Amino acid sequence: MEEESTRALVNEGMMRSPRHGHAFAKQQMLGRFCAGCGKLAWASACRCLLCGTTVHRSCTMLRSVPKCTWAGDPLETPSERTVPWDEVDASRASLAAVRYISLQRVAATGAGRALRGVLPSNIAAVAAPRRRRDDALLAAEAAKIKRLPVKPTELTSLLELATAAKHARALEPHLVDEDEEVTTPRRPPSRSRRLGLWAGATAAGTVAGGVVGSAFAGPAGALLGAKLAQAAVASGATACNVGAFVGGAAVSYRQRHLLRSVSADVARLWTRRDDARRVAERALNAASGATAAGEPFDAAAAAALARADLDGAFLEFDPASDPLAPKLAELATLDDQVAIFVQTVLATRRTAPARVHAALSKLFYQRRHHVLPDVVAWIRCVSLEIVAYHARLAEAADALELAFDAVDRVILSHAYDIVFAKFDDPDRNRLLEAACDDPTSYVFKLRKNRTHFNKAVAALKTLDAAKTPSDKLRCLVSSVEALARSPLFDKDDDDDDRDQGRNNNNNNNNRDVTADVLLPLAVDCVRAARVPKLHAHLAFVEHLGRDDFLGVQGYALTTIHCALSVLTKNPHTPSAF
Amino acid sequence: MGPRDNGFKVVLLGEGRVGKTSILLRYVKGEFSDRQVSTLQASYLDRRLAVQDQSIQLSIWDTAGQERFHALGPIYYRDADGALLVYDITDYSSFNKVTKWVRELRQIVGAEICITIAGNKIDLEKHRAVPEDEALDYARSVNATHVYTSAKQNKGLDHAFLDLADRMCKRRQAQRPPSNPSRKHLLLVDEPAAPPKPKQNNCC
Repeated sequence: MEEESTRALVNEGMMRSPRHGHAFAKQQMLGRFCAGCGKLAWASACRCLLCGTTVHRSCTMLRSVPKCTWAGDPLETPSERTVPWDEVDASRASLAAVRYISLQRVAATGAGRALRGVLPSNIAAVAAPRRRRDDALLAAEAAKIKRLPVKPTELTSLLELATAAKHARALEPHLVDEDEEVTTPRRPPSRSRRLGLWAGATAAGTVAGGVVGSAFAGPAGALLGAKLAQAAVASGATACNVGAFVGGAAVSYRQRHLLRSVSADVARLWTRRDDARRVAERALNAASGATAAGEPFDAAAAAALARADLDGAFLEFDPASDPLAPKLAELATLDDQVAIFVQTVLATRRTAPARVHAALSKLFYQRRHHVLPDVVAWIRCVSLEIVAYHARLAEAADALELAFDAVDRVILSHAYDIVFAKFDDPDRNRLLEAACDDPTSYVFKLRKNRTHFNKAVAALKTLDAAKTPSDKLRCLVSSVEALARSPLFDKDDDDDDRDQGRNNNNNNNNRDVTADVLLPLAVDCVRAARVPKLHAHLAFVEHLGRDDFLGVQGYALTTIHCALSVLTKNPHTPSAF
Repeated sequence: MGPRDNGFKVVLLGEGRVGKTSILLRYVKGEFSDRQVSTLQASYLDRRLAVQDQSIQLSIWDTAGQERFHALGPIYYRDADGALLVYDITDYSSFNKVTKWVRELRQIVGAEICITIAGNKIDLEKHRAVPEDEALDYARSVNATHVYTSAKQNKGLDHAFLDLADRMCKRRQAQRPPSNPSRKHLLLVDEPAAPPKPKQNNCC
């Protein structure tokens, strides 16, 4: 089993160095030279499981290490490569692969296109899984790996250590050494070695700091750079080139540029671990202020994701074995299933989306002044995590929309009051109340049967109880549709277009409600419903709704919006429309 | 607001009684006389069209034509891709109103909205009050297309909407950045690896 997991990690490239493609594992070997620094590797060396390259543990990330030459599975950079979904075996893929497939599917949906900004634009967050599993290839790899004198258990623990360290560093980018070589964690050297290291580092750091400082800022820079480098080394920085860089950077005022280059390096390092890379990019973007909008939220989400045990927490939604299956079988529609799924996932604290949700929720309550963008970012992040969390959810074309709705419900169930209060405007409330006191007008042209009109009023009244934008939009649509269904007018109604286009309608009593009639009807409906804070409801829908308001929802919203404008701008409208 | 890949919003504007609603009703019922498209069909219409080898969705919004609702125009034509301005060829004042709408649209929405000016009631040619040359010249001067329609005789409607859809499609394609073609998958781009450095003897 362990062999299998090791093999899978090698096959997917998750345990291979993103820089060189080596699959380094700790080994005790004597008498080999380090491929990174050229010195003899006495102990604590790492050897590539694939090609046998040996390096010091501290040299695993040096650029001077030659690339892995293993021919069986040559290191393939993911540049300009698209992976069709059907070529990836989702049934046995790791969480990384599942996440990748899910996000690809989401990206192809309408909502996904709208979310291009959230979805990684340059693959940053989503690294492609390795190619389709080939049984013959797997067998060959297994045979090779079996011959290697490394115990898989040892390898796994090393991997875990490295991954944890990467996560920890990614979350705190300011702790990353300004050395451009970001390394795997080093073991503290022995005392004598430390002394030699300190002496060498001080001397080299002084010289290097001076050189770099002078290059950037002349003689004064050289002096300051050397001093700073000495101070840096003396205060415990381990490598002499840290001193050089700190000195040079401090003098040359190129902090920003340096930070960016470090960010790029750090991001490049983790091309294989999709979550790690995503964490790194988000956190580093947050640190360098590359993108302003939603950054604290992104960083918090990244942190929460990193803390979540992603691989262990993967929840496969298998109808046969899933504990939720019997419950879901009773529900017919996909949106109900998604809603239940979302609630379950968010209620289970150990899942990755739940952790993201909890982190963002905490952040939201700390930053109440940014209510709207925060809530939008919150809903987006959690929805995306949920869809990425569940491979089959991403198969449904409208899964993201449904997940949005379900996440909306969860989030707005406890944040609704804060959000809604932001749209409230007491002056407009008073204006609306005054307008509502006028007697209704157009409705008297209707015949005695006002069933549909009353339905429309009732539907509008439910606005207050609906807590999510989509629910509110549904109320508006059903209200306007009910209005449009009440075509019972008196025969002497002065119809604008009696002559045209309507002669083919056999039933003259059942005339269509045109826009000329619908709007005054809507005005009366708004007046009769007396929904308090109606403008706040409409603004809530407009700001938080994800619809582009092109379809019938948009028309219903616009109609009620217009009716409200008519009422509040002309509170004493003549009674006859 | 999400991007609209193949959805277009078209508003019908014009003075009351020029026949906006009739155009919409005829456009709905000309082909769909037996079945109801939606309950809002007299004021709102979703129509699928094939333009330039692609299927697009037109959302046609009728507006209230009464003068007292004129101020609500901006709420209706917000985010619209196209506008069909209707006037009655037997009523010169309705043509004046069209010029007002054009000015307003260009001022508020800008140049990116496609405008088609439709002279309706062409079946009443003998009562024509708007000179043909004037209407055509005006349409040309404001970069709009001019069509003649008759909702009563079902003339020119398909042409008007197809032409408008065609122009909206072209405009959207022109606005779309060429470097971002629609594709099924994300393009995976990795940063180029830095060239290997010479040996560094400072690692341990």
